[in-house]
Amino acid sequence: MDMLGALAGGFATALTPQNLLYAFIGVLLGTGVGVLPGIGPALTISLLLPVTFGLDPVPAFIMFGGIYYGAMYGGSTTSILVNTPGESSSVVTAIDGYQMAKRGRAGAALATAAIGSFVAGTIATVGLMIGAVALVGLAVRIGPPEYFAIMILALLSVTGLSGSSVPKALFATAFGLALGLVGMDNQTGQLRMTFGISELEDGIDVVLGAIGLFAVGEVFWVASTWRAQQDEERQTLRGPARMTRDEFGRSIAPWMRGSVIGFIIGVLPGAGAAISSFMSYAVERRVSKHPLEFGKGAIEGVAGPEASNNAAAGGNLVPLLGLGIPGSGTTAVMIAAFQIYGLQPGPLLFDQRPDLVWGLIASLYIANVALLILNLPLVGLWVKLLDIPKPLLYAGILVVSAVGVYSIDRRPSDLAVVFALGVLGFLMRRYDYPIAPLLLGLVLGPLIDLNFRRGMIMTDGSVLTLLARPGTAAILAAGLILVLVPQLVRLYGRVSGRRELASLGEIDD
Amino acid sequence: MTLRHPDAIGGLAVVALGVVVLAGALTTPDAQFGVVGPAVLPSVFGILVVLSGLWLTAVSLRADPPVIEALDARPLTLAVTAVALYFAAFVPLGFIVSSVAFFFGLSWILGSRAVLRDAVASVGFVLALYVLFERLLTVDLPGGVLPL
Amino acid sequence: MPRSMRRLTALWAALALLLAGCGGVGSGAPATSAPAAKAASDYPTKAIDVMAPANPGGGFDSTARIFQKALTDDKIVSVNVTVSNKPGAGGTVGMAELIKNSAGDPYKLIMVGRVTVGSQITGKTEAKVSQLTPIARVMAETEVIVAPASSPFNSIKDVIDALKRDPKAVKIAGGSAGGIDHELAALLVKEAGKDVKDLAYVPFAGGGEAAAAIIGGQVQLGISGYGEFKGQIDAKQMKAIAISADQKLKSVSIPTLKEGGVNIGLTNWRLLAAPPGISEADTARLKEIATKVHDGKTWQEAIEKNSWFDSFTTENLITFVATEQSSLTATLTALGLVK
Repeated sequence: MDMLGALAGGFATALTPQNLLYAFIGVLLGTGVGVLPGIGPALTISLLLPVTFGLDPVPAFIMFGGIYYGAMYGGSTTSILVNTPGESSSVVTAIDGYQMAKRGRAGAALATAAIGSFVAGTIATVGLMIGAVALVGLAVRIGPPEYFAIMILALLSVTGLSGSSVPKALFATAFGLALGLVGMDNQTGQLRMTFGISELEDGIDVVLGAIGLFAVGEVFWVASTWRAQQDEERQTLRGPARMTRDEFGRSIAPWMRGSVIGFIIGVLPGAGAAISSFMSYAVERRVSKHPLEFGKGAIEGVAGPEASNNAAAGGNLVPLLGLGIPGSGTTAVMIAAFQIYGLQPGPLLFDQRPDLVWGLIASLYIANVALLILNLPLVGLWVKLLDIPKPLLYAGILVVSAVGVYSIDRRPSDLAVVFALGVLGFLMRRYDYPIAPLLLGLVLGPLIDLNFRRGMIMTDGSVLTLLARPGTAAILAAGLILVLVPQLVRLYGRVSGRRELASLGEIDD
Repeated sequence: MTLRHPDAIGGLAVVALGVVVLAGALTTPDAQFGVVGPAVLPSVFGILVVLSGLWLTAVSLRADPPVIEALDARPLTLAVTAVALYFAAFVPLGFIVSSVAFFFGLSWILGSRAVLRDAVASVGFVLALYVLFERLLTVDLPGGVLPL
Repeated sequence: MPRSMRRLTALWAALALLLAGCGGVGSGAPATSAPAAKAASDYPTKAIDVMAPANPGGGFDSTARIFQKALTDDKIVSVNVTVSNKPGAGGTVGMAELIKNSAGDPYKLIMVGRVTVGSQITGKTEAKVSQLTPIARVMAETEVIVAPASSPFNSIKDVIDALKRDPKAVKIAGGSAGGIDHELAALLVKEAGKDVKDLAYVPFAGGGEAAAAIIGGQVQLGISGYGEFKGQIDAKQMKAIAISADQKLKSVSIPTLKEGGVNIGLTNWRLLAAPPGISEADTARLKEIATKVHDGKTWQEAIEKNSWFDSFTTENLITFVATEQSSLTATLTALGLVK
């Protein structure tokens, strides 16, 4: 096989000064939009498309690849520092990352996210290179019934996010699922749960959820604990910005597992990076030797999900290059870009434009290295953001959030939705309801609905046939195992872990 | 607080939310297409919300009330009001004017008293964002009262 | 205050970095917003947005983006042109939003089509294509019926025979319910002499999303616009069974339905429209701009590359939409897709 030769050709393409420059611009820009809540890689590439009309497709796609990978790097930053996910795929990172930051380990959390992203990006790029054409054969065997099962499996990962109260987690999940279905039904055009409010017809974007529940909710929370915050600021804990040997050791396995989970989920065109990050978190919690640390700053809870969302980005390029079909919002925009250049993404592209395909793959390796070089030193700079007086920091976050929300659709009513979700997020935080399950529900609601209904058409309306398909049955069985075992562990943990929980709480407050 | 347990009230609020979801689901017109109509899963989720609320209330009736920290009501009220005003004014006043006012106001509400520094920071930060979004990413931000 | 100054420096450093990243793009690429060369009419004086009421990569999206590219590359306008995606229900989600939020704004254009008319009828949505201000019918495109590469179907006759045996056994994937893909599927079942109630139609958000299910053999047939499946057909991942138009494609030898002995002729069209309440002067100016796009190099190349039919016109569009609306209502009612 002359793959290595092709790859060498790809590097020759990617390493020209011009293309290197665009790769670099891409990763810088990607990191930037990843950090900014609201604005993500899909929107950025879409906005930049007209700018690239004058370019040759090779540098344009090299830049897009850099943006995509870069956004996955950057998404974790605000999750960790200010409990405000930059992307939906970094929601789960906020749980333990923010707790780490509160304990002075922000530098370690950012570093494990950056190195994990590098490991995952590299593994995924290798997977993409070796398997793009072979893997798609597998991916297309996954039909709506199997997707339904995968979504249910992803939903089960909520047991890792549930906090101390099962009914509260059930509420958060079910309400999130319901919120995800608000708006015009994609299949039939019927309005669901809009109560005559036309602004809701378009549904509630996941980004609105992430910004409202986290960023706005966080600011209300900070305001409500004003005096406590004043004390805390004076004694902000400062640790070394690097990972300790122990933290590094604990990160290695999660990076690997996260990469595998992320890549597999990413290859499936109907899932996505956010789902893979939730699944990775659930798996880490399930296999961890320190399950009780989860939710209180376990480094595995940052390392795994951050590796998985990067690997998912790489995996997503498999159906793009192997089939010419989109697996995420970002790859969909990339397909649009291919079409504008008069190119049809798909296996033929390997023959017709090897320079483009292999140049893109090679540039992804380069982007990964560039991102690591860029982001490890940036860790120190990002941590310095915490030196900004808290009032200014939070004011800045909300202004950026408002712009991010507005830039999605330029629709003022989205800001009203974000405000309402902010109040909900505050109430949930104050009365100890877990917030991440609501976000997970918001992501999964429409996917469960669409795939269930499609699947039911395919099985002529029989739920039994749907569940008995080999793929569906296998996935659901795996889910049962995944959920039952940790439930038992949790039950045990809740009995024996009360003391640890209570004592940690004292330190935090 | 006269309530024995905040989760009792919370549970009832959750039930109410679930009823709202159910009401929205059940009034969805049937599209007469496909096997499973558009109202089915929303109804299932609505029922789950109601059940979780009932469960929560039931559990809370048997539990001791937890100690919940006192609210700092004044800054909270001010922050909620500030965000509401900001979002409402975002389009009519425009991005720059509303954001500068909000940045400065929220900093003050959250306890910053370095007035001059905050003023400089709010103007500088907002202008930088404006350049980034409007000029470089070509997002059409609302101009509002400024002649942009 | 040296301490707070140091903190501010940290903030600015972070921001400067972001700006540096973006500045690179801004200066490294050709400027898209050169000052207006001439101002015969004052439209356009600011950025134009063309809404594609579907996901990126689909038919609406590629039409809108090629229109965007033509406006810029052929130097027809000198303002920024953006494309925004608002997917859902055959374009009715995006259309409803445009009508509600952008009435009277000539800078918010939209690409709609026959699919949108179909979805508005079956979905009984409030927003109607007839409420928009039509600018130009920009193109027409044939539908294509495809099967997985390993399918036993080799001709439309095989498909009709299978439908005659058991229509429920032939699962057909395509775009939103009520759209032209769905209509064609129903027509095929009817052609086989079966009740449309037995049609097993699996709706996706668009051809791209349906492609995985078709290639993987999850369904037995797929229906979409030719452009959406062109890549997969060329790569032999899908088998093209027939096209729905009466007219054959120039470069490809896929038989028409009529050639296969099935008396169905369907052609999809896309329409560039502005929101309701646009002044006549702006409408006229927009029609002029659209005509320039059509006559330009970019658009003509796109017609060739995408195997579109050139059915461009800016005339009698209101009548055209009304006729399509009533004939589609009649067809969809007869098929039992509207009750």
